[in-house]
Amino acid sequence: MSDKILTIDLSSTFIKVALLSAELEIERVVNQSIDILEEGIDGFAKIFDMNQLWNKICLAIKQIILQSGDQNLNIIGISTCAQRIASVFIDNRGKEIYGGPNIDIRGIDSAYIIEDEFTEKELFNITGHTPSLLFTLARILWFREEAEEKFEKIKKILMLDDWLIYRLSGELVSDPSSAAESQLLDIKKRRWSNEIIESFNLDPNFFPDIVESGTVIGQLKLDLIKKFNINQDRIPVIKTGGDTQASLLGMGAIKEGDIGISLGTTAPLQLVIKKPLFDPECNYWASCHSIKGKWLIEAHAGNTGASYNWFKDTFINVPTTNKDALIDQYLRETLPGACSTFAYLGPEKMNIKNQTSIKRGVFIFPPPQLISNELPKINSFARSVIENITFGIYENFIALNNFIDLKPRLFCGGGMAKSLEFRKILANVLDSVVLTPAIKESSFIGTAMNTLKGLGLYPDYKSIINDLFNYENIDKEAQFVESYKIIYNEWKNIKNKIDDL
Amino acid sequence: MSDFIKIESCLKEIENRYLSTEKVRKKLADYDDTIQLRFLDSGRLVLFLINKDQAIEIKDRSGDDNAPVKIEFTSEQVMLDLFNKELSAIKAYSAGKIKIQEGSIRKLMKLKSLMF
Repeated sequence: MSDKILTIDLSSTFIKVALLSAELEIERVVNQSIDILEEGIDGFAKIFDMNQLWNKICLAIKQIILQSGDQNLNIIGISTCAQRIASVFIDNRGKEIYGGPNIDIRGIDSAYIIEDEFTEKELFNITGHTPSLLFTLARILWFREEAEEKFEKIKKILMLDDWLIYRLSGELVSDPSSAAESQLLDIKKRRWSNEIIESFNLDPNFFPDIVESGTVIGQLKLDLIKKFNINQDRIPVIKTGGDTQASLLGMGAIKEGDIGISLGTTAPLQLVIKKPLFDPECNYWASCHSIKGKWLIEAHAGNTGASYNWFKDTFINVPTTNKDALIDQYLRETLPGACSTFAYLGPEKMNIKNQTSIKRGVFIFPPPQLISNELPKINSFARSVIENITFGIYENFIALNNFIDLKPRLFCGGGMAKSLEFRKILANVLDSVVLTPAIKESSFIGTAMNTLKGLGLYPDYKSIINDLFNYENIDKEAQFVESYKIIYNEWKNIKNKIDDL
Repeated sequence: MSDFIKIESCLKEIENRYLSTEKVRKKLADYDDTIQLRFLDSGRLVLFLINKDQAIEIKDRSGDDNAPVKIEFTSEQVMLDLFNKELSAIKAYSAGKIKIQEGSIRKLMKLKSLMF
């Protein structure tokens, strides 16, 4: 028999399905795009087409099974993770009434109801999250205020990973890492907040039972086993939850004092702590780790991967099959400071509750003048984008350091972690060793770890990491650390001047 | 055909929304901050004085430096496009056509149904 783990990651942009060996080697990946629709003209309300989403998930699973061509394939478990904040409401027949992504901010219309009941601080000290317009609580209240007929049909409120688990197994459960991003969870207790549910007179039965990540919650439905052309009778389904928490597991960020950077479309930095802590300024989010007894403080550097991809797609127009490799070459060709070129594309210190305007994107660079003897080229602009991303991460890294006395261990995983040159700059800007697992697709790995743990093949995450992880450690280079202190200050001084543009 | 061709008609619509929509007034039940709009192309200023759910007064071509909420439009056309539903508020905001100069996000959230 050929034992494999099937993992599904519903990220912000893709449905990603992978087959992994029981030793956590990724053997095959199939991606499908995720389409997000606008509801109404104003652009605030956004939805998934839930039928299309499910059909694409099924298609990706069927493709990966077909492509494996393995007659002895034995899927030992399916585990999933999904973008956080996204939620799905279903009716009493399990049909989706609403499915909204992490960028659905319809709650802007209903957040006033929340403010009438709780001050920002009161709600933050229960849920660890703000501002309300982003989260499921405001979405539920929006439906009660603006779409009463649909609200009346709601039977269960699910986070996106809960919904996926439901569609695969028929079981209605949530987990702390998913539920923590709803503004309905009592972060300290890792349970739905009775206080919030009662304050808004919500039906407590809306909310599914909470299990810890790594729990076998049921079996893949028989009709799906048949639909996916899998030659097995039973396949356990194991809960994971939020994609960034899965990513932390996949990096090995499981100990108090570990900071993991999930380098995807955005770059959340999450500090692992042993007891819940709430930022007195209500800025940095408090969340639940996938590990029982571990919590997180999150500082978010913003659209890091999105900035990188935008630059790559817009400015790298040379014929090459691998633009990422070309950008790595540009980084090798250039020095810190990028020929006095500075980029301001968004990555910066988290300040989400005061984000009342979207800053303009800016490049600052020496223009062609008679006295100029060195002008920036495309490689300098590429470096400036990477430096902007690392400066944004740095500001959040410093902020997280203020929550602990320990010197943190720093991990990173995800798409941009594949670039060695990026990790070198990151280590120098952060003045820290950067630990990266050999396999950078950390959300797949973390999700698959829950299958190993859920099936009892390993007693805990630490054993899995000890047995199966190999790390690439990037150490800082003293001469560049000092350069970057000066360059960051220069970047920041200019930023302070242009933020009001 | 565009329904809103002058800023005055947009201001009238805002007043109508307040007076005729109970939900809008409910959202503003504890709102008594002055809101200032500024149109950068014409320099025109508009003030909204909201007395909770009791009354609204709109003062065209009036400003208040101390207004706790200040919103800038790059041009009067932006507001017309918004009201004619030819531009989404999110797109206008993302493109820098609307900018919040003063005001917390909690205060601004309450204005959405009135303004956009």
